[in-house]
Amino acid sequence: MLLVSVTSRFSVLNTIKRQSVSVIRSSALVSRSFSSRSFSSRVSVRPSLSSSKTATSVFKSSGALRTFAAEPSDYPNSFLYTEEHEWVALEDTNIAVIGISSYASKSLGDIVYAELPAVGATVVSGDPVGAVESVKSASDIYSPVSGEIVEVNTMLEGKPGLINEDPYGKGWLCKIVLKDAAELDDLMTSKRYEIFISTGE
Amino acid sequence: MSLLHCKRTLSAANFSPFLSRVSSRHFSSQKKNNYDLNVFVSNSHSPYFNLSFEDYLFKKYQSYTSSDNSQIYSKYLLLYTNSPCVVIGRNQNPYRETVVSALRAHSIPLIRRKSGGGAVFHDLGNVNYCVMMPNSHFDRDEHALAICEALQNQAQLSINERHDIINADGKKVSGSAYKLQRGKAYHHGTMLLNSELHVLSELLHSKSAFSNLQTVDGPGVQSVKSPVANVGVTNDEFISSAIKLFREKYTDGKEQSFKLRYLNESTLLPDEAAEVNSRMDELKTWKWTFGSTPKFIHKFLLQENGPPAVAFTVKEGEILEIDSEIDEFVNAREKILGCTYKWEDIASCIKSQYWKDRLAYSI
Repeated sequence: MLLVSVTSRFSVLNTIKRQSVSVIRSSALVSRSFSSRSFSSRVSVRPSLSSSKTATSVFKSSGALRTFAAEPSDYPNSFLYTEEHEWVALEDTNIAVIGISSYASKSLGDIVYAELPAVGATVVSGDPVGAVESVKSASDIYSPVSGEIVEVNTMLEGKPGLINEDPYGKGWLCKIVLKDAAELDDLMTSKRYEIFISTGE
Repeated sequence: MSLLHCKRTLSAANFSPFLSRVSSRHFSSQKKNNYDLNVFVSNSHSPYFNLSFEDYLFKKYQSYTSSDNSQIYSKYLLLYTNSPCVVIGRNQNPYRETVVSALRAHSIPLIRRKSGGGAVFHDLGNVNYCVMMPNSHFDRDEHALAICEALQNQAQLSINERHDIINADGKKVSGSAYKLQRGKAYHHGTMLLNSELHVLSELLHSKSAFSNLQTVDGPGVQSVKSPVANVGVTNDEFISSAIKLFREKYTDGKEQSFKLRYLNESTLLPDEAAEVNSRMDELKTWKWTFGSTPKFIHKFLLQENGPPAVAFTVKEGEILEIDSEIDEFVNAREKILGCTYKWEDIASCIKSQYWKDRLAYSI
């Protein structure tokens, strides 16, 4: 019976995703789906903070969690994605916010520690930029772009679980000043990423 | 859980925590569970050597091998036994997880590994196994179950919800930890066969002298203490059972899909030795073992549950802040700030023998 833990988590989440029906939803899922929705309806991308604040405040004021049933996408439209399941959102023309996708955060399970890069460090796209630990697993995170780290999400120091609760919002990891914006062309759109997730190609 | 569960088959697509870079279509003709299996058995007992070799092997490991027109997934199995040592997880705090002075007194090395998870004790009665696999095949229970199956004639073992192997009494005989990287992952675990369990208990769970007069606050991963037991089979018996099972379970049985190599410090090729040695040097440093502890506040109390008499805030091995109303610490504040968090360094700034002893015990 115990064996099922990993599988069942997946199948439950997959079922929810497929059916897009809100029968049972954890608070994490609700806040995530809400923030995803608010992102995808936006034109300009201001990823993390604003929308997650909205999500939290609505979440607090409204007892009726089920009202957020519709889940347009697990992967915000305006974000870009890597094959290693990181996301990138542009905060300014040259500042990229980095995080990991809801797919990754679900697969990893409860994140208990996030190791973040040092502010001021320079990174090259594809190189490790940090790591997270969940369920006894240390997993490397790779930088989707090259540039200089200008900010890290210090909230994660005390609350690494924010990555699970709100992977596209409060669970952001770091901000990087882009060295070469052309690198963004190599990343996947949300549609492309969704196909990648479902087919592995 | 019965051993029947061991027969479960791999279902890579459903488990995949991170999909592999390698597209699955290249492997469509490959039968499930047919791997190229490379087994490495270390007969060195040096924990530094073995953990460094493991790390090197993981770097070298490729998730598939190519020949002519076909590609086949690859799996590595490494088995090693260490002389007594305590090994903590990548993101753990040694001051919280161990009695550092007890380790020093017994000359037992404390080592920070690269994988996640909690603190474990190794000795000659414990065999460590490590399975390296494609990232897309990663599963936290798969290989622990294989180990249960390997020993099914000797013991009744199963897996609990923490992915540990337990015996029929529910006692833990093996703990697991994992590391995931792009395209690859490993699962390694301890296997208590004839370990000195009282030593384990003394080093990891002990409550004595000043241990109730200190607290460690801060992020990082805390160990979960579990009752432990030995399986009681010999190391050689375990090693040969594991190899036999892995060969049966994960290869097509042909000679070319199975390789076995015994190794130690003196049998490595020159380029292997260079890579392993540089990792050993890093693993032995204070900077890695203690200095890479996640930021924490170490508080020293004068009575149980009382207020802290002195508290050090430490980040990257350096004292960022000291809070105390004790004159000695107030006067030495400027000297202490910026020191590396070693008891000798702080002790050299103060005169009180009581505080020198307290720091020596806990830091």
